[in-house]
Amino acid sequence: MTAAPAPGAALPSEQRRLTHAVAAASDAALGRIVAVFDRMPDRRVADRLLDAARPRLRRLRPPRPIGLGRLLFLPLDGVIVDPGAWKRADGSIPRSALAPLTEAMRAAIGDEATAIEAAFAGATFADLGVVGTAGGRLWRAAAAATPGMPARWAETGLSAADFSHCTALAAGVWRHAASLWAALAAAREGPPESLVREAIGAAAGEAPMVAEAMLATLLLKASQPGSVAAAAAATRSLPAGVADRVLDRWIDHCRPDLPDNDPEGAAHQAEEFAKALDDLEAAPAARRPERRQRILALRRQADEACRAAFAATAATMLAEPLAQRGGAIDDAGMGAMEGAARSLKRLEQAGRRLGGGTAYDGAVRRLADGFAGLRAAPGSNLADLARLTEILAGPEAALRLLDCG
Amino acid sequence: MTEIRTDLLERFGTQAYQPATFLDRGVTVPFTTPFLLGARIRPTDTRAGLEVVITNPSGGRGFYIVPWPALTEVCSPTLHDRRLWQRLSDQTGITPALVRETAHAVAAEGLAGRDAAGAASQARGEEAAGRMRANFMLLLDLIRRSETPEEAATAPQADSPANVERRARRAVGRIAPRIGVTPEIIAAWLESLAGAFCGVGVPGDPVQSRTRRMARDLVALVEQVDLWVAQSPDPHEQHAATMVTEAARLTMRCAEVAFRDLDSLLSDTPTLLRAWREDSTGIGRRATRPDWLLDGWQVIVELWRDAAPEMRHGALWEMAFLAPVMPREVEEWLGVEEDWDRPTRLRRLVRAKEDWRSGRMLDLVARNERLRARIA
Repeated sequence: MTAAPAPGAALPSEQRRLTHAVAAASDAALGRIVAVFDRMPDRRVADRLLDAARPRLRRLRPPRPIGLGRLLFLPLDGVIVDPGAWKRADGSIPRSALAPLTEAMRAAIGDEATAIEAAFAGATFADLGVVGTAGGRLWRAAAAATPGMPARWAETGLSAADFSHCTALAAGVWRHAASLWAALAAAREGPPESLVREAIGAAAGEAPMVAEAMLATLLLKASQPGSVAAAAAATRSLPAGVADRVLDRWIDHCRPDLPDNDPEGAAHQAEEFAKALDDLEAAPAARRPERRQRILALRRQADEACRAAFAATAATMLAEPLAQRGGAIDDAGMGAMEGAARSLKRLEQAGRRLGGGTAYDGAVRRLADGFAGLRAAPGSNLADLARLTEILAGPEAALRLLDCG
Repeated sequence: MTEIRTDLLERFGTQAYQPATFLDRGVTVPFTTPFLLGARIRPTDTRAGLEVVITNPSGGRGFYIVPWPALTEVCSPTLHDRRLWQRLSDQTGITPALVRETAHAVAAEGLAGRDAAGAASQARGEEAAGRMRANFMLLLDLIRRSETPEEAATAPQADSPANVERRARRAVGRIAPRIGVTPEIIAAWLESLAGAFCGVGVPGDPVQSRTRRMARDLVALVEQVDLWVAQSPDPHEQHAATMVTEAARLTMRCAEVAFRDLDSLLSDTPTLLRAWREDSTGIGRRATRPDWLLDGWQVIVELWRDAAPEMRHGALWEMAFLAPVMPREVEEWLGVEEDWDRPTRLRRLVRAKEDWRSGRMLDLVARNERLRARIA
């Protein structure tokens, strides 16, 4: 069955307008909107407004304050889905169930929940030590608790059987959340195979949907998804084919979406995409031709996103400001431009890994030619132009610019 | 800017870098290319050109001694480094002062960034101010030593500028016949002495000189590294710290002796003027000793300052491999005796490590430019 919208929601037309406004907000504005939503006592309506912006939020990863509900369901992040798309058989949890489930768990855990909230007060999910300590305590307590169905459950439109499904799945994951967290904390390093095996292997005695949910959560953060899926498949916790299915879902939901006004963020994202795609292509899962084609399509999308971000950033953060100000840039402005140029270089290097080599040769040459064209502009600083050329096109090109000046 | 041709580089590897003299040790050049951080230049054996001494970036025992033309094949130096080398390669005698002045001129062009350019201009201004203060301090001493008790009723440093000028002229006029030269020559010698000693600082100067600031920074570095490593259970980190602090302590000991010797020379201006008349070249060389002794430590101090606590382990290794080798010439200079082979033995105990400079090259260049701005 699918979940019905919660009562108390805005009128459909108003909600559509707000959802559109949130989706169209700039990265910075979206960060501020999320901060406001995070402070709301009941964020069910807010969560629906954020749905359209979730792919972008995954990229932006604004520092979110730790809340009991978000910490509780962190190990299940990979299986939390839009209520409209939820099916019990999928082994997932609808987002609309999180608030009543949190309420039920809070009641079941009792004073321990209050003590844990005090322990993480003021911290964000960037404080990994706090997340690990407070999370470990919370997941242990939650796994041992027996929650009753809360009165608000009816508001979700979900049945009692759905409640049993959600609590059974969550309890199964919470029982092994400590080892899952150990792997999540090392996600940037793969995570290493031994941690994946330990985490997924720990759920061997559980229903298969538990290990599947843990793998889905792990893939959300993993920098080497192909290796993670292979390591998970090698454990006895997952029936044959499940790891591949989770990986396919990850590929389906992967959106190579790079910001065009944040060169450092774009470079970081592009590097992560390149690393993940290299890993996917080398993984056993890529041997299947159909999956290989999808990975190649993903690589093409990432390559195009990278080129688009490079072109937009180069224009808005380097070429246009230099042309508008005739090269006369103050120290802070020049520092920012050099920072943007370094990020652009990283973006280019990641883009070349993704496959767009020749496109960057031309783009960099055009940029360097543009800098050279500004040598005679009133107020232009030859050293600044040479430095930007050096960062993007190398010292030999910069020397040529200086010698022609 | 991203790759090092290790196959070409290996041709220039050597274990035999145990310089007997300071000139053999070479002078540190503030390069910004990651591979060249802390590298030194020195004349070739035939004195026909210059070569670059580079610490093996993988650690271990080795050094690379590479002529510049080959270096551009091994790595791709930054624009700043190419321009700096261009200027230095025209020079015949390499000294720390020459490298510093040339580096200031290149940095002032802005090729290592605006911060480095600003810092180079400021350093040049400070050098000029230091020269004026040294001249003034020497003159004050000359006034004190040449006046009668009645004339000295008001201490010269407390007198009005016009009176100090008059009294200085009188003092120079009195000392000149005693030394057997004209007052104009005394004035010129005082200016030359101020130029030679401004980096050392004349006793009584309320502003600390460049080399004394460096010596003070070295003392602070040793204290901080000792404190840091006292909390580390890692024997490798302790070994790196020992390589840094032992070399630093030896340098500090030598610098103290050198400063004592020079302070004694500078404490009596008439005697200093006579010594200058007898052997200005020798006095000028003595004045450069703190510069030679402390050369190479600035980049090490700044590496430590720049490293965030979580990066200090790596920084300590980088510092350890860059720690300058003290040449035996220091025995002749200052009479300091030491187990000269100990630093080499300490280095032998280090296994080759992963290249610490293999991070993102552009980020490392930016870091080195940041160091460059502080080193000026």
